[in-house]
Amino acid sequence: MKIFFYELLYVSAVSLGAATLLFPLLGAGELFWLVVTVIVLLSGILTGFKNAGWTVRMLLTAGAVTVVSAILLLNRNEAIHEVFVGHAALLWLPVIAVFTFLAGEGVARIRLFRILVAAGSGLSLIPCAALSIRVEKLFVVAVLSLLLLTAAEEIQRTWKKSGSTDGVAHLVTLAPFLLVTMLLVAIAPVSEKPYDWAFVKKIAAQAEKGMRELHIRLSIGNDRDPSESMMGFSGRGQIFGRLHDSEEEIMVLSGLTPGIRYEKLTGKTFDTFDGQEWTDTDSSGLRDVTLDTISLLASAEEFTDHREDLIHRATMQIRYRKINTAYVFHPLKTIAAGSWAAAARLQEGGGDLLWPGVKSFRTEYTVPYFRINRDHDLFLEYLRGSKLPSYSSFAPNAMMVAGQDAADYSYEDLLRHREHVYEVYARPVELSGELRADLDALCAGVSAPCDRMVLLEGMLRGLSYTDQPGKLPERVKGETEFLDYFLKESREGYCSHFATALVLLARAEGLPARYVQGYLVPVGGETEVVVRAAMAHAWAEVYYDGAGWIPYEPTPIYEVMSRWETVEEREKLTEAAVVSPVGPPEHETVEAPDPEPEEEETHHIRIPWYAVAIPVAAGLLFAVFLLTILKLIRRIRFGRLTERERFAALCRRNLMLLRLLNLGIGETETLREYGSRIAAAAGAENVAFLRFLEDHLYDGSYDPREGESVATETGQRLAERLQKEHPLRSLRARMQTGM
Amino acid sequence: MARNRLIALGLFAAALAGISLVGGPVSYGFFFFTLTVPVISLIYTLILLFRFKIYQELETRSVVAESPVQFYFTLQNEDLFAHAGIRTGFFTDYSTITGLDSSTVYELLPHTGVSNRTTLVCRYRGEYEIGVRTVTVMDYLRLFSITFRNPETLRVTVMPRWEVLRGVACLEELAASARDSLITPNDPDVLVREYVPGDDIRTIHWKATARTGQPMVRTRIGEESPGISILMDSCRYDEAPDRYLPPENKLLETTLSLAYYYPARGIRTAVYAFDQGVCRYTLENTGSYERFYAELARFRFRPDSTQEKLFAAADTEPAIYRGNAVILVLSAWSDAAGAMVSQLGKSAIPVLVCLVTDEACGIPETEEGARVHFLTIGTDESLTEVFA
Repeated sequence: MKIFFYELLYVSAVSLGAATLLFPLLGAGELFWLVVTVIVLLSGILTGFKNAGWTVRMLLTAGAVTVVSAILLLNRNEAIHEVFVGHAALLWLPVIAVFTFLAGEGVARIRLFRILVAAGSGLSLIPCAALSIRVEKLFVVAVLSLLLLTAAEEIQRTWKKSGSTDGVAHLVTLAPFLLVTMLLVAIAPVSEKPYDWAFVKKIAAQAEKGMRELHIRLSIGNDRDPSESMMGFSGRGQIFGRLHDSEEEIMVLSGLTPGIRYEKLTGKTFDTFDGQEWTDTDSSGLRDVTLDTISLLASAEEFTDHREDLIHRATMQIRYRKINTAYVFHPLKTIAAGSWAAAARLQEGGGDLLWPGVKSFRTEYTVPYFRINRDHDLFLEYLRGSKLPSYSSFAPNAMMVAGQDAADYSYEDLLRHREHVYEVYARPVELSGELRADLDALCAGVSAPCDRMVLLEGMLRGLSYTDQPGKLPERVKGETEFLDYFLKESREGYCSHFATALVLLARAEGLPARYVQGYLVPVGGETEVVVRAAMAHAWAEVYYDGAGWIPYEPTPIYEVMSRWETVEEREKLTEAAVVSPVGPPEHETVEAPDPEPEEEETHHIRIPWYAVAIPVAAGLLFAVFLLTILKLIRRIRFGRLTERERFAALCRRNLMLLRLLNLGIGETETLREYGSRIAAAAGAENVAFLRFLEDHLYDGSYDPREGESVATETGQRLAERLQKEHPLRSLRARMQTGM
Repeated sequence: MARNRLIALGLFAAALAGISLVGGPVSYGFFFFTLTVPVISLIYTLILLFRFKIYQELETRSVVAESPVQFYFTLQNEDLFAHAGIRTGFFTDYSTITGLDSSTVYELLPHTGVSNRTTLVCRYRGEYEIGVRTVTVMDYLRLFSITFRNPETLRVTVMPRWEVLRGVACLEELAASARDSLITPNDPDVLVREYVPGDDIRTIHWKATARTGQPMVRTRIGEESPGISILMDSCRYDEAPDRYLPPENKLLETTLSLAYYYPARGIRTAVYAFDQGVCRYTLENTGSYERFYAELARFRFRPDSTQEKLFAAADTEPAIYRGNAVILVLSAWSDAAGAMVSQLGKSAIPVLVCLVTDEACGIPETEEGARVHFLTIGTDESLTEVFA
């Protein structure tokens, strides 16, 4: 039996693989599972036929006769006939089964052949995968099954062990585990696309993020002064030097208003330029940042009923990463008051916002601020008439902005703030005669300061941008020299030059202006963006009464625009969109009637009762006939034996019956010991034949006839007992012995 | 096994690369194959872990040190699948099993077993585990092996061995001094008793024998004649079994052998030890040796049963000082032992000191004039060779 199962394992694997491989050649179309099942089944039956005794072979033959006769009868049914006619190649199935059976037998019996077939079929999968050659999953399963069986057997062969080391029994008894393995492989999902390691990518991204943060923590120094090389931003107002192109992540902005293109973050402001460098001499103790914002709110409110046409309230969350700074980076028109300012213990001084100490990695804060509609004509109109707000407007806005801290923002503070601004940021700048003439020509006919600023901004944007302008000549020792050099001679530079020029020109126009360093962040409409060191920027801000500080962008390459539609414009757009539709004229439509469904010809396969009954009856009759013939042959053979041979045969049968009754002889037991042991369980009369058998085996001195008689009677008694106690075993015994 | 694991790991890595680059049944099938095979192998190993059966038995529970005893050992598979790889490890610290190799791997087909009958020798007296210590189960592809400690170990009580010493010079000296106290033919002795095998024939009372027709031996009455006193060091000097078992084993073996030697020559012997108090084991004659052996073999050594306590207790036993000779069986020489020897020397009692130790040590200094003889006995030495 173990040989049968052993061979069946290999035959099944080979036949499964061959069936899936040869199926395309059969042209059986949708009959894949039928073809494969039939081939594997037939191969298995052939294996059983080869290993079975004559009785089983006869039964299998009878079964084959049943199936063939059934097919012949069923072939009369047209529907079934069409199946066979349409797929004539199905007639090759038995041939293929025989071939796969023989191949499987070769694999099972010949070790070298098995290794070669397993290795060859395994290696054949490589080009199939590499060249995307289409193979059936079952073929892969079959090949892997063969590889697994071969590997298990070879490992067993080379493994030095004691005990029961029969390789065949080893493989057969481990087959359930191997079959479960291959079953799991067979039912596992398959995709035509390579695996998208999304979760691995997530893990990798998380790991990379963690490593980056660790790197940031380790690389951030404790120096109070911000490291220019790290952040790009500098607390010093030098306008020469190399531009930073580092992509280091300085901070992350989130919670941004959708649709914003750019955002400017103020870091530090400067008021005094010596021709080479800006310095900060503003020592105001006023809360300039918030006063500036309240002033804007109040004056805008006085200008228009729709204040939102000029300003929008917004917030942004800022999270520091690779930065070490005392400066609170914030947008213009920030509300540096309220709970967040109190919690952060912000300090305002000289127009800058400062932390109480130095802040670094993972510092987070949410900044409330107001966006300005700077590039809208309405805002320009507002600037033209901008003036300090009245107390009646200022006070409620101060209350709205500062809440319970409104007392810290008095109207007097606003007046002092304005005075201070003019004192520090409006120091007159002297232009050279030639430059003055050029600018007068440029601004001819334009009187409003804000309009002149737009012209000056445009003029500067007409110059060239370069990231390597070189150092300023030593002769540039002041503002006038700088403007002459930059506007007349060099006419190129980067943001620092352009910002410096605009600040100086604004002051030359009598307007307070300041130089600002911070970050210009291209938001691109997103709600979250990373600020990098390369985004460090300098720009100019000009002070208008009421509106406060307004930013300008004179650097050519940056298109910084802050503009949105006013309420009135939106209403106009809404009206224009409403159009009464003029549909097509009504007309009758005659729907075509649904076409009547065609009557399909149905081909039902009806199996008449006789198509089942006759083949089954034929098979049974054939089986009975064969068994009868077999029994007759056995009897004839038995009769031809000598007395001793008959006695021996009968004893073998009796021993088999005793074994089926769980009274089998032990491995090292003698017949005498055996008889003594089972005498009580089997009955003394049923062990008497053992005495004769002992004589038969050792010295032959016994009466064969008496022995045969005793053995025959014993056999009958044992058979009856077996039939009562174990009917199935009795049937098996009958089949084996032909009793 | 390492090679198979490397191959499996390599194939799995290749499969991972395969499904990352190429789709289809080949790459995915191979990937799940390289994933499923080790998983099922591991499950098989775990099943084996819980289904495996081992039986072991000793011929007798009463084992004597260094005496071979029959050991039965069976591995059984009661399942429907093969047990591909089973390996057993044995306790080897204090016992030896012949014929069984710890490196042997067994395979058991369904409903089959492997039975071995072999001999086991326990080296030392004491109570410890023997037989199968660990079991290692392996899967059919040699990818996994799990070793677990045998939960049902055999625990035996090993009795000490002893030797019949013959004609040892130093022992004869002591015997001679002790024999001087034997009853002379003129001494009044009242009691006689029947001869039992093992009695010294020199103590046969011929007159009584002739009278009764049976061999009769003299028995002294009245004042006891102690003969030989053996003081056995009762201290456990170490916590680790591999440190205390060998010396304790040899101490008992020496004591038992010496205790048998003198009664075999008609000299009464008493063994003194200390176990929360003085323990006295007397041996009148070899006939009662079995009882004596059983009692002394159960003696428990303790860390607090120091030599000081033993000798202090011995001082309260007058029989020791009335005896004719004293044998000290010690694990180590101490000041207390020196003082004891001096004390015995003052009483003109000859002393034999048996030092059971593996360390090389010189003869300890004793007072001049003391009749002391020193002997060093290694823990693995044969007494016959030592006393030869």
